[in-house]
Amino acid sequence: MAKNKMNRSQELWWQQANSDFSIWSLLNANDAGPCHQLHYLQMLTEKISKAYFWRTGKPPRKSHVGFVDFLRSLGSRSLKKSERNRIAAIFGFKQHEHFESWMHNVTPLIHELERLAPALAGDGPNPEYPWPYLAPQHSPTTYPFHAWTALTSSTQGRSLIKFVETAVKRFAEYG
Amino acid sequence: MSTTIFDPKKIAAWYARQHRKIDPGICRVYYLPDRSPEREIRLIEVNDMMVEMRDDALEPIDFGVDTGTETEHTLTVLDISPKQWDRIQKGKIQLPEGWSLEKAISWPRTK
Repeated sequence: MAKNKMNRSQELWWQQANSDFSIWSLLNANDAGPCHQLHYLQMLTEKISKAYFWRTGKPPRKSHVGFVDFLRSLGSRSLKKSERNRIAAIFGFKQHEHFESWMHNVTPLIHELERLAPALAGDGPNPEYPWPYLAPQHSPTTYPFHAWTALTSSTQGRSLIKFVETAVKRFAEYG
Repeated sequence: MSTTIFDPKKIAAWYARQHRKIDPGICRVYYLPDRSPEREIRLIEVNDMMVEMRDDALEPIDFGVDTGTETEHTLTVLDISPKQWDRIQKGKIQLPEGWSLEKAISWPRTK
C-alpha cells in the first residue's frame, strides 16, 4: 500500500533505479562477471537513494555517496516509533532495533560498494575501467572484487542484496 | 568431447565450505536435493550472527552460476537464524514452496 505519492523528481529517479535493477537481475541470472554486476548494484543504490532524498522537493548533492545516508535517514530517530517500525517491517525486520543492528553490521560493506564508483575509487579497483590510469595493471573483468565475494557468499551480503531489491520494489510504501 | 560431470552434491559441499570461510556466523549448511529441479542447488544456511528477520520475510535468494557451460545451475540460498531453524523443524515456519527437508544433507561448522 502506498504511503506517500512520489513527486515527479522522485518518480524519475525511481524509474531509472528500477530499470537498473531489472538489468542487474538479468546479469545476475546469467552469471555475468562480478564487475558488471557490481557496476549496476552501485549505480542503482545511488539512484534509489537520490529518489528518496528528492522527497523534500530539493535536489540532493551530486555525489556517489548516498546509500549509507539513505539507510540512516530511514532509521532516523526523528521519526515516530510506529513509523520506524512500519519501515522496518517493510524490509522484513521484526522491529526497528533489529533494523538498526543490521545497518550497523552492513555499513562497511555498503561503503565498500560505494567506493567502487570510479569517481571515488581514485586510481584503484573499480568495475568500469582498467587501473592505474597512467599505467594499467588490472582490468575489472578479471579482478577478484572482495565486495562481490562478500555480497554473494555471506548471509549479510545476501541480506543487503535483498534489501536493495525491496528498496526498489516497495519504494512507494516508504519513499 | 565433454568430460565435465555435473555433480550437485559436490558443488553444494563446495559452496558450504566457501560460504563458511567468508562468513563465520554460518554454523550449519543444509543441502536440500529432494524435489529440487535438476540444475538448482538449494541451501539453507543457519547463521547465529544474523539479525533475525520476520518469519513472513523469509525468502531465498538465487544466483545464476556458470551460465552457458556444462555446469550451469542456479544457486538458491535461504538464510535463517538458529531460532528460525528450530521453528522450521517444528513446522511453525513453512519452507519456500516446493522445498523439502527430506534427504537433506548437513554440514556443520568445524572448529
